[in-house]
Amino acid sequence: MAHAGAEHDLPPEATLVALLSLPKLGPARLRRLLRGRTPEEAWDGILGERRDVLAAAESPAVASSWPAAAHDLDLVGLWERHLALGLGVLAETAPAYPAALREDPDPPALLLTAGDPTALGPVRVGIVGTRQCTRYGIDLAAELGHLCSDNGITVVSGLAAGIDAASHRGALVAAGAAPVAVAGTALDAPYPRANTDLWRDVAAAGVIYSETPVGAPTERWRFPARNRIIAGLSQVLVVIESHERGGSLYTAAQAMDRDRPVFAVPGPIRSPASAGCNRLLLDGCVPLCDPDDVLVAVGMIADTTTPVEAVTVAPEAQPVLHAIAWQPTTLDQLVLATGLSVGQVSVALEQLLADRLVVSRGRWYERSARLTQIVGPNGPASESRS
Amino acid sequence: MLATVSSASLHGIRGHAVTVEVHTTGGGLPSFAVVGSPDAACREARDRVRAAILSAGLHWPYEKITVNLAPSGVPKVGAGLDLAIAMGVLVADRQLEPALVEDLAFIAELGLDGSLRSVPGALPLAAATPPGSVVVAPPNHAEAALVESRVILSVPTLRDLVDVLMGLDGWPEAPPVPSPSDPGPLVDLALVQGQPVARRAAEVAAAGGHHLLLIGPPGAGKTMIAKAVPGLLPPLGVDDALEVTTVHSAAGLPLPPGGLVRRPPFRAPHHTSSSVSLIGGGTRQMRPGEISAAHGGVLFLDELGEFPAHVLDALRQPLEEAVVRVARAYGSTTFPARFVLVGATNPCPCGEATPEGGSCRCSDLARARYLRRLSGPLLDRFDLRVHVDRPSAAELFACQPAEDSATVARRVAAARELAAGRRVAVNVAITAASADGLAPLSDDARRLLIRAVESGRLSARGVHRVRCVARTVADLDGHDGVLRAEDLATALALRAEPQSFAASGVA
Repeated sequence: MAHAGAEHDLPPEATLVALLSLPKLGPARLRRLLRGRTPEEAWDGILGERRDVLAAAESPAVASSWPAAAHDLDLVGLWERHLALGLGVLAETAPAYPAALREDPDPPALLLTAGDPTALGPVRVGIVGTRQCTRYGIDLAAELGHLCSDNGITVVSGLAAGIDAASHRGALVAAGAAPVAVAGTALDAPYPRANTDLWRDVAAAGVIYSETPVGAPTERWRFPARNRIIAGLSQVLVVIESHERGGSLYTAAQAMDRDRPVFAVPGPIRSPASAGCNRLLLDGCVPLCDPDDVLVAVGMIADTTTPVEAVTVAPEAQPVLHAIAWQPTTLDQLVLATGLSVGQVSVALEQLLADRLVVSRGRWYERSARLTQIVGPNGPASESRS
Repeated sequence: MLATVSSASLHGIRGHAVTVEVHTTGGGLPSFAVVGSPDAACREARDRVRAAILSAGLHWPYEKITVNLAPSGVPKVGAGLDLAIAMGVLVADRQLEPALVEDLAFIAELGLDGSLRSVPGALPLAAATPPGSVVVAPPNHAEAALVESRVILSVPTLRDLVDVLMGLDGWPEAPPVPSPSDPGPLVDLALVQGQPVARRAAEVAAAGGHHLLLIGPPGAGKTMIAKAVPGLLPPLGVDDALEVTTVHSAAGLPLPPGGLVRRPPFRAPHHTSSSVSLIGGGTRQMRPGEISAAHGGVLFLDELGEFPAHVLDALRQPLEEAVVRVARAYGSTTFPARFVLVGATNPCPCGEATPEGGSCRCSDLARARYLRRLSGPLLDRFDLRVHVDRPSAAELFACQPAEDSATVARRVAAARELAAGRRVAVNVAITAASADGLAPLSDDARRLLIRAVESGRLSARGVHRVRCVARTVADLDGHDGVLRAEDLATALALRAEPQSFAASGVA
């Protein structure tokens, strides 16, 4: 039997964790539940199947599922699981609760944290984008993450695959300002699983926030809810790449609702991964034409003396480098475009990969976004931001 | 009266000699029993034999007839003993002198009208008979004649046979053997437009015997490329041809005119095939499976991921040892199974993934699950793994005709000669111990390999496999010495790593 915490000496946060573990109980329903009630009153109301409490669900089906779920829930056990995992639990009153969220129109009633809850810096830039991104997006997200962290700016992102992961990785490499992540899933189960190492590194260097209690299932609706927190934490939001429809566009809309500047990175009009960004530009977002623009937007003056590396490209490799467009290109396409043999193209590719002028992703080859001056054996040939 | 007649029955792809003993006795009710482990088809011989003898205008002895098939412990399968049983009955009934059938063996099924019908496995059956002459049905003549140590005779009907044996007529001429005409390749490589990487991979697979995995969306031309591979292989040598013909004969597969299979076979079993039909076996008659029918040629498994896991697991031993051992309660046998395996698969369940997502709507989980079925030990057997994309319109309608199979096959034959000069049948068989001698690396090539290992693209096992492929690539260029960087780079490019199969290579 799970009664409200008082008799077990449980803190009010424990009841909040239990409430958030109920099926389909998101930020909006929690807010309605807690209107004029303490968490304990709401919990007891659900256990007692009081109609005025259950009305907060605004759906008879959802409301009817709550009392049974609450009866089955082991309140003490759930709380102890959170403590055993070493997770921080921040109610709105906690000192470490982000100040930016206190003024938010839709603040999370409870934040679970992995890592250092005080890692959140005073200057914060959100970097978000699609999971299905191109190399251009990955490189730019990593570069921007690196640039921000290097300049003491906290990078806020969502730990998803693709752009989010790349921005965190860039920030981790710079080892400047601590990275901050807002996860849509519970903190005991990294998602996607392939990024387990990234979760560990971000939690070790900075902090991961989540509104989802341990043990709660991964559900679709949790991701837009997570996105509003990213928007709330960021003073400036940068959308690197987004499809025509995507969670990044929701984050951008939330940031705009909060009057935060939103940058969108212009992309090729033929690239589906940039369709959402180009749409944002049409809607009046600021185009990000130089990574330093972000520094200017948060009131820092950009240091424009980024050193340019000189890279020598062997003459045999030059036609292959030219044939790799800014679109992902397959080996087949390169062989057909250059008229060289599979062997010749492969040798050139191995050289370009070693020089990091080209990267491979799956079966595609792409130009990397390194700032380089490509020189032939006879001196400077062309400068390119490649 | 007692009569003994020689014949043979199949066990796996080998024939074994069978002595048909027929005993007739006047006492008791007329009856006809077949003993000595006959299967259903074999036991039904009594009805066919009686009808055939009566149709031939001969006398049927209304006596107690016992037929024993010796050795009686070995299972006899099929209807190939019909003719021998009929001859035994005629001899036992003294319609024919025992001396007339003394040096003859009989292998044919009988029709109710007395005609001789062909049986599967005529080649191994004729080879298993005691030395002398063998009588077969005319359609089996060319095939049985491949056994050089036997004299093959054929007559169309039982009546004709009796007439010939009684000296009323001579043995008819052997049916004319149509001159073996080369049907040409199944699919000419010239039809594969664009796809330079996959074309190159098919060539390397044919030259080095490397197994080839084609990864690509539906309609990219995977099947066409697979069908072009046997046309690149050199024709089978005399010994191989005889072995392949034996397998095809025992499996009851249609043989080319002239009887001898000279073209490397191409087999493409569907993914719903049972594991017995693929691997071989059966309860009584050990039939060779599809992998043995592909012996000496190409086994094509389309939609590799759709094959049941136990079927793919069963493939591993034959892939390793080039023979398949099948054991049943009745006994065990081995079938030859040396083939080039060509697999084809979609990159994900729908196959429509592109770097930006494309129209692919498969979840990461679905993709991972799809690829997991391919990964592991079986994937390791594929030295060549290439992506095949749908060709663009420009590639499809290219004015320049692509190289045809005959041109590529010449290069393949030359490359195989280079390998033979090093006393290696095919480069896929180079062992790790002999790699340094047979596939030495240049400094550039070594650097390339080291970088591939350091970047995590290549495992220790992969290093050796890449070297074997690079050896074949060099051989195809007519280059017999130290492996160059170009050979290694090509081998690496033809070995896509599993994580590259799905679209999102970067998390």
